[in-house]
Amino acid sequence: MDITVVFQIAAVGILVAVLNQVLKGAGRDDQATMTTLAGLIVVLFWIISHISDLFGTVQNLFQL
Amino acid sequence: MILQIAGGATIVVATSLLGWHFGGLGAKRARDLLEFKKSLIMLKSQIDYTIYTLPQAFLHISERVVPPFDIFYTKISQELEDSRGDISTIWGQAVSRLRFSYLHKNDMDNIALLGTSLGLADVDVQINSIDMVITTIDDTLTKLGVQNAKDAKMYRGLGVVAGLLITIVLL
Repeated sequence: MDITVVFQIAAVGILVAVLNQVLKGAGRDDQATMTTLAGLIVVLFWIISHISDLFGTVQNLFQL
Repeated sequence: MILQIAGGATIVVATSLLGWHFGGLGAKRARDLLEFKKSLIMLKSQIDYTIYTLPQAFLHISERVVPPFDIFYTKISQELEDSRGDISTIWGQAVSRLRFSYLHKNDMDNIALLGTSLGLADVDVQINSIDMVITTIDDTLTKLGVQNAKDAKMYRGLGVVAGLLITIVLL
């Protein structure tokens, strides 16, 4: 697995947290929640193939 | 790699500029509302002292206000002079041309209401109607004063952070 994806996820996490704070500070809690959800979906989209690989490896390891 | 950095920088600059633009819209709306309020105060005094006819009063005001309100008053004055309909219709049409200003729809609806009493009712009713619109504008300006500072800060912050976020997602 490429280590870059870990840094990308960390950067997205930090920026989404900042966005969340900015929006909450302006009294836009709904948009803040939506931004957090969007960030989560983007990150899930990135790691879904890695999770699939992980499950495959676990299956092979325990011969399930 | 250099191309990626250049692309990322372009995105961040573009979103930051967008943030600055949206952050300034509230202040521009407040400036337009204040300018229109100024014109209404002039109109009120001209109706009160009955020095000029209504088309003349509009023409005098048009010389003292900034765009797009100068065109607004000039058009009304010209159309009234040419007798192209009753003042209510002419005023309503002129208000719809204010969509090129920074005023919102509810501001324009409030201004459009004035057309129903101008020139048709007696002086007191006309002045009361103008006062009512001025009070509504004052209320909006008070609300905007608090909201603008918050929104400007938010949009400018959002612009920069959204640019960085897009860049990271695209890398």
